[in-house]
Amino acid sequence: MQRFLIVLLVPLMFVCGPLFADFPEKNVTYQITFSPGGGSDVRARHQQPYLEDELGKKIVIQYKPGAGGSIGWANLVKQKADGYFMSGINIPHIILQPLARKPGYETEEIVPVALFQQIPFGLTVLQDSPFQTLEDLINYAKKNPAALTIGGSGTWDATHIANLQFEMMAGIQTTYVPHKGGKPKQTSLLGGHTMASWFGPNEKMPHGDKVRTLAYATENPIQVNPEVPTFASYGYPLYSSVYHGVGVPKGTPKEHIEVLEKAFLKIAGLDETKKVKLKVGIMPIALGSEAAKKLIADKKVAWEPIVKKFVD
Amino acid sequence: MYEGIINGLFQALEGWNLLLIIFGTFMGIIFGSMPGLTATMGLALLVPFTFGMEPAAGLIMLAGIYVGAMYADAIPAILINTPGTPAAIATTFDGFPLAQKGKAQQALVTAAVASFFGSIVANIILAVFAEPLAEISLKFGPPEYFWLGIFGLTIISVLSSGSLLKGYLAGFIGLIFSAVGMASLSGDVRLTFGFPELQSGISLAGALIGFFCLPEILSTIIGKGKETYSGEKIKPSIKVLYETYIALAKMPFLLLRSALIGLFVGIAPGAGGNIASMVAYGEASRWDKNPEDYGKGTIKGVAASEAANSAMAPGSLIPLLTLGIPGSPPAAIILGALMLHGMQPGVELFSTYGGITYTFMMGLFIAAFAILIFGSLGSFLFSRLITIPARSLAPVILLMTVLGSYAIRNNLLDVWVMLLFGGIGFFLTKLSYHPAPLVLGFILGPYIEEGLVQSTMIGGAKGGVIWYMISSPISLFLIGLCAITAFWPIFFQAQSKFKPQTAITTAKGRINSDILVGLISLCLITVVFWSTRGLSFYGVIFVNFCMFCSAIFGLVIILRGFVKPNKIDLFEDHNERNRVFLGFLLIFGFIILIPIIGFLGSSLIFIVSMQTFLTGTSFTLRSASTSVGQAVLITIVAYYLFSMILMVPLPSGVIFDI
Repeated sequence: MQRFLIVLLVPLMFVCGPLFADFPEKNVTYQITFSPGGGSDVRARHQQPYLEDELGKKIVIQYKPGAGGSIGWANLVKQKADGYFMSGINIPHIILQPLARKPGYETEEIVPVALFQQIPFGLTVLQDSPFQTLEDLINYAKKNPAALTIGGSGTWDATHIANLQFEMMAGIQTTYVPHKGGKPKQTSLLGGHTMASWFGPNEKMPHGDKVRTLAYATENPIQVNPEVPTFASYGYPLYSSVYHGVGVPKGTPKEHIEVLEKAFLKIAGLDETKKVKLKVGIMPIALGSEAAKKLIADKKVAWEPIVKKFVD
Repeated sequence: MYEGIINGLFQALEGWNLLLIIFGTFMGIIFGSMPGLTATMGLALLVPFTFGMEPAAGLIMLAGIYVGAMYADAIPAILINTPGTPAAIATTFDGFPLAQKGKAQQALVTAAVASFFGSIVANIILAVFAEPLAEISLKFGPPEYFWLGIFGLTIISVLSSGSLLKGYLAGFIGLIFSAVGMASLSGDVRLTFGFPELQSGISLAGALIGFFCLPEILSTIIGKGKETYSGEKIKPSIKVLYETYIALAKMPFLLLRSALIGLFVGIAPGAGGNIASMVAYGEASRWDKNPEDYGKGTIKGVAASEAANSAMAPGSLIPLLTLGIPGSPPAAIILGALMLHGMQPGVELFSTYGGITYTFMMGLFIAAFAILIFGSLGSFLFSRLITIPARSLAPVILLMTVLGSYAIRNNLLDVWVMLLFGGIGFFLTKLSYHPAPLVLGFILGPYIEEGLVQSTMIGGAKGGVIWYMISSPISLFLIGLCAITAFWPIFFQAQSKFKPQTAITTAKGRINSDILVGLISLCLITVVFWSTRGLSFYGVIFVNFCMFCSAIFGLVIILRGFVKPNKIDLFEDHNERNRVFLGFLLIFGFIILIPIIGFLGSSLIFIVSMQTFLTGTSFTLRSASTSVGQAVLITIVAYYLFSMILMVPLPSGVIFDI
């Protein structure tokens, strides 16, 4: 009987062994879906030493830029779902891209591990702009349909959706001018080529007094610009932010996700991390895997009809 | 402010910092000089190391890399006709012919001195006038981008082809190539032909290597069986160094004019950096007493191009430091490094972080001196590189082209595109069409598209698109420049003086080159037309514009082919043709093998077979064993460099998983 038990247990141990082994056993790849030196890269480089401490293995940073991040996310979902390959993820990108075109992945194929920062958007104008309040801007747009040019970072990104929602809520028509990312958008406003623009607080900060934000699309006034009102305070329930985090392919073992989640949340909770982010106008957050999943699902429900209305 | 500058200078000259600048410059030269490696990659690789350093120390090391790479892109341009970055395209016009004449050292020293000079001039201006210059950069809106791009195409068309028509046709085809992938503004996916990897477009490195490096190897080394890259013997000496210094000292106006052009054009974010050196080169040849020297190998051409592209680097830092907006991809990485150290470029950079900022600017200044020294001494070493027998050198260059085009995005499709462009470039050159306008069109495409699409949107909101596009003073100025550049040679009957390097004598051949190129262009346009139906208005407007223009130029060129036939033979004899096809097949086979047996195995097989092929009849057992030895060594070095240092995941094959 004893012998029989051993015969039964030994193979069982081999089968179950890996499950009980400590994850990670080898180096973990951290994919960046934007160019080296960009915001995502800087963030990952900042996390790298802490992650290596936390996980006890090397973090190998790998770049797969292109097509607004979708080349990298299409690559992510093709990887082995074992927790050794993770990728930076951006919301709303991973929700909007599959809604608007065929980027090579589906939103549900990416499982978020954690979200660690949030950048809300606000409608921003030059210091000497005639628009003193959000109402001034809305009144102008009502009198001159489509004459108000509003800059954003791209097509079917957070700023584009925010602009469409804003138009619907305020009952106005504007000319949305997409740019190749955040930097050209800033140049356009500063040079007076667009009349208003969707800026995050981190994009406003370098320009000091040259620009003013009329209202932020958040529930409450934000920590770094508390004097600026919200759209909600004017009666427009508009909420628009970019969230940054990491994700793994669908099917990754729950235990492995938990190990990574714990590490990322711990780093996000450090005072030092928070200070670095707030200093440049970025809001630190610490959302775990389940909370992030819910956020993604909620946003998808809210945005799907808007995108479908224009794409089809 | 002056106090800040002096303090910065002392900071930068302090022992450890000085060492870092020199190290950075050295690294920059390595990254700039290898085809496929870029300043951007070098910077990205070293940014993490700056994390543990003092902010000033880390930043001046990056300054060294940037300055070093902006000089070093001239090295492959001179030696193997492959610009290390787009900014060095104009350097190939005279640098490569110089090297062919055995004057590689003269060209290299000229590049070093001109880069030094351009850098110094631009740095002085950067230190004193950064803020007013930043205001100018803001004046560039969508219409200005559009016209700046068209201006760039006009210059290179006149310069490289001698014929505006031929250049424009190639340039607009280049613009169409740039439309492949996701439209950056409208998000439409265009011309990917079912390859998801093409959504991010065709890679720049693939285009540069494919159109410049491969055609040269295919036609001279493989096709004509040339023994070495330079036809003449090269004997580097102190005397050459000294004579080149003296010759350059006699052209202060040319250097100063080129540096100022480089700086001002470089301030326009993005597009400016790529065309600054062309504008300077064009002006140098226009105001010279002997414009016919240009394109045949004169150090004046190298000096103009290099002074401008090194002055451009500080130019692109102006919007970065004052507004927090990077003017070039390397500047974007420097922005990342600043942020990593908790510094926010913009209003605070000169006040709160003034000490660090001025140290960084002085770091750029000192790096220019490091270039002068490295470049002058390095010219002895670099100029000898092309005296290495071609059968040993060419396989290494080919391996680097494959690795380089792969490494940018870790994508094997980019390597295939590089090879395809190599083939196209080879035939274009043979048909007396210079590939430079095509490549520049490809590079400027995104800027021209952005300008056109945003002009349409903003102009529409303002009530008149055409008026919006032509009414600003800068737009009018750029339109005027386009017209002058295009018609100057005709008015002054100097068209014959702008002889391009590839203008092959109109030998009696069987192929009417203009008709052939025109017809192929029309076929391409038809394919593009069919594949871009059903896109959104803003996604297709630029493609339509390019198709319309290139169709007109294509038709006119076909017409000219009938009126003034230019008949050309692609190959001199059957032997040459067979060699080119076999050589091309070897590279083709190499790329096919990579995903099957992995990078290591396929590289070994490729180097040995390429060397055997180039050695030809003098093949012996001894040469075979040397060749295997070289192959093992080169493969290991390349593997170590890319896989271990650059962290590029090299493909491991299906069969041998190394």
